[in-house]
Amino acid sequence: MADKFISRPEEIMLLVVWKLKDNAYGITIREFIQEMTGKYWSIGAIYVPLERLEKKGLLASYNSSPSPERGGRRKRLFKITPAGITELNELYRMNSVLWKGYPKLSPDENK
Amino acid sequence: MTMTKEKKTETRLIECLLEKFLSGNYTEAFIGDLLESYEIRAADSRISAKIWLLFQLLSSLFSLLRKNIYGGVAMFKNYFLMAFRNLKKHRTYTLINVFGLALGLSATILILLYLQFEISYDRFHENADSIYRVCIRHLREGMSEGETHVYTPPIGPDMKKDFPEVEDFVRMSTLRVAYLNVDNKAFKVDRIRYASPSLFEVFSFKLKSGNSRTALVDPFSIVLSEQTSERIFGSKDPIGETIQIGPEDLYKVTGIVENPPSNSSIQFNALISFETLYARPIMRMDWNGGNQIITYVKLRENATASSVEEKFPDFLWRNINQRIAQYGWKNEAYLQPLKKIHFYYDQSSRTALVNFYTFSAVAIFILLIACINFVNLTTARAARRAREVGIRKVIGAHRGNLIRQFLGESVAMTLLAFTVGIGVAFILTPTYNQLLNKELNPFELLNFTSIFGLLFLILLVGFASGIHPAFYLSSFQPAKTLKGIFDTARGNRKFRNALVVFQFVISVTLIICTLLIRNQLSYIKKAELGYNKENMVIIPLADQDLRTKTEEMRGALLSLPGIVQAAASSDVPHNGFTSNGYIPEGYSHSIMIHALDADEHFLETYSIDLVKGRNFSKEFATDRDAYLINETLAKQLGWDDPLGKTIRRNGDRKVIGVVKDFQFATLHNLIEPLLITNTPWRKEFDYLSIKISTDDIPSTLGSIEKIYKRFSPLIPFEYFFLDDAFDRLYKSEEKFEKIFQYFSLLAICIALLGLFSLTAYSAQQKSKEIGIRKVLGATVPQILALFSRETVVLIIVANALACPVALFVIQRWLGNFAYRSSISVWAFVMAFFGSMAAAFVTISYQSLKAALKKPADELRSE
Repeated sequence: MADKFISRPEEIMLLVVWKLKDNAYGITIREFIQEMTGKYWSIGAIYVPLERLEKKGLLASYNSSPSPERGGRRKRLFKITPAGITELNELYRMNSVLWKGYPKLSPDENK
Repeated sequence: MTMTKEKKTETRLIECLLEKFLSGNYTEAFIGDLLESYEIRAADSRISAKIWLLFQLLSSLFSLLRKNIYGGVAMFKNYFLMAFRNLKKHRTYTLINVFGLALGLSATILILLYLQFEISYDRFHENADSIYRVCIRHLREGMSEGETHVYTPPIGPDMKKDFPEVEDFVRMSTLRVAYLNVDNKAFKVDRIRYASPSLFEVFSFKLKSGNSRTALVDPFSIVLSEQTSERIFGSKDPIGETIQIGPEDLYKVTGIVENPPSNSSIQFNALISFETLYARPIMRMDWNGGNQIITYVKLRENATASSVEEKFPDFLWRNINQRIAQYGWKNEAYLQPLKKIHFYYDQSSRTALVNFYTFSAVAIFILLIACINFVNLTTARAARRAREVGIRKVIGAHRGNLIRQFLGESVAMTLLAFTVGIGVAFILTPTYNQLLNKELNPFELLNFTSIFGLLFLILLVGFASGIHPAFYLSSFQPAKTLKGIFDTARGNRKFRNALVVFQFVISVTLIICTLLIRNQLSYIKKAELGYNKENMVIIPLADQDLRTKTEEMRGALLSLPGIVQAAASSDVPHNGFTSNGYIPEGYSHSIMIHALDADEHFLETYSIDLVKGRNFSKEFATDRDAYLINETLAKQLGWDDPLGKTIRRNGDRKVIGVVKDFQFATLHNLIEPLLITNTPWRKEFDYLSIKISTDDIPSTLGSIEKIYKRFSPLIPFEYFFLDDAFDRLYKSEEKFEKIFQYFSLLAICIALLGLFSLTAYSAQQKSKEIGIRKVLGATVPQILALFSRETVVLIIVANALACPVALFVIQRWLGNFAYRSSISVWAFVMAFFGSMAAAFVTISYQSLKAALKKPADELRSE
């Protein structure tokens, strides 16, 4: 497990890559995130957390073979590492502990 | 495959752009993602896909670029730090570098101010682009007899009538001087013009009070400049006041106009309505009229000057040429653009243009000298930075990085120097203005173009001085420099020496020119004029009373003890006489001859000798219709015995004598043909010349004034000494010489500054050598010789190169004068010894310091 907490975008990204299994690359990741979160992500922006995760050793990446619809460019496919899985487990444990007993509150309730 | 190709052309630009900009692991994947998404969208709509792509590009770029930019900033910070440390560590060098550059830049700023002022002439008029001055060329038998913009009154209105291109015209008389009488007090006002009412519409002279449409409409209206109004009326509002000019004419003040700016070629202190000339004609107002009117035309927006000029031949034929053609005369006309008048068509244009180019050149040269200092100091100290360069290269700096670093350093240095320079320029502006006799305002540089220009100048100077050091320093090989093998390359020293020689060629040239200009000016002042201008008091006969009683007044003056002789004349010799066309005996056409009207005492008063014949005399009544001519005219006409020959203008008149040549104009010209008549035009003389004795001049002047008051109680006593007026003629040249002198002094100072620090550097480098030489028995003079040898050679070479350059330049300048002093060898000798001595003094401090050091101190370390 990493010494520090990972950021929220990184957390989301890690989960998405795990969910996409063997087809995790720029476009699929972005589409998936936009669907799940309903927030807009630019194409370039997703690479920032991805790169950080890779540096931390939670993700690994490799290049696919070039494909014609990409102007002859290769895809960068991402895959979660064992360390990434550990991190996900730890996150899940931490989140469920933290969120335990939380009912759905209405914004007025805190008055 | 076809699809791929098509797609490629569409998105290639973006791909290229991205590949250039991005660096990192994910670039390829990122571009691939973009293109794939683009393809998906393009299947629906190509245009919306394109817009999307562009949007994506912009929104993604920032997050990807941030990292790259951050890296750049960090590096830049390091460059800055290194530059700052370097500057701090070597304070003397920095100081000399910055100070020299600052001096050069402040001189440049001052010169730029002047240049900007000169360029700004007449540009403040809103319609400046469409205003032209009409200029007439007089031709006789197809040969030009001179050009003038001063012509007859009707040409303006007739042009407006005949040419659809002409929207409006302004007529203006030449400058007049008059006494303005208000409440029995007379004020002498010069630069008075008659002007059309359209003046305020066509030009941008603004009325402070009064109605610009009507101010100059009625005859006998006068508009005063602010300055004149204040002089005459003080703070009182003068509108509606009455001013008397001459014995009977009453003028009404109808307006106050802002003083014409000093960068206006049209100057005036008061304007009188043009209609006045028709109400009280002082000249003919038709096409045969007196040539005293300047005409400006404003063309319509889409009209060109050439379309008007095409119609001039026909226009002039109808109005004037068909009548004068029988005498062989013809007039041609063309239009002078208002904005070009100052540099090309004004009386002083030649000087203005010469000064403009000279000062531009001087500014460039001074900057060059300052830049060279920077180049020399930086390359000379290259060894000190060789290690830094080596380390940087080893760590992975490209040559490009290093070049950028060093260029950045020199630009930063220039910026620093510029800040100091602009401060110096601001401080010096008042003195400078006094020298130039102009009102330049450094704040005028605070406009968009100037600021842009100055920034460009900073970059230019920064690059010019940094480019060589940057390439030189960045070329070091790390392996060598880090091992400590650093060869102060011989080639590089040669280059430095060449630059030093160049600096001194410029400064020595400037010095020689200054000396020779000064030489010429003093030559002019002492030149033999052919008449005696010393102790000559001139009284302008402005008042009607004085003009009619000139003879009586002369008699009264001669009875005074201090007065030697006195004479009345139409003009006094110093800046030339008017010329007219005359037809000499045996000629079928007229030639231009200068004319002077003088009484019979003139020759004696001015000590002008008669060569042949006799002077005018009261005893011969026919002398009223006789001529004296000068030798030049006799020679030009080929008359060996001119006595008794006749010259025609309004009737034949006999020549009764020949006077020795005297220079009645400035020494820019040769002596021209002259004839002297005994009868003034309009029966009255304009000047009284009084020759006084040298003893007790103040009391003589006092008694002259008393007599003057007796004849003219109203008009204040006014006089001038002829030699003062003579000196004033060369004021502009003297001013030029003075400024030139300061700038050449500055140039050599900056060059010496460079030499000083170069010597300091080489003294430091040679400290070990000197130590060893001293141990082995070298004396101080020997070591001094070691230092000076190289410099002496450089100065000699520089002088040798500067001589022909200076000779060339000065000969062109002397071309302005018909009378030239011989180019004295002394100037060259003085410049040589001067520069040598200055250089020697400069290097002696550093070399003496080095020579006097104890060898033990120098050799102890290591």
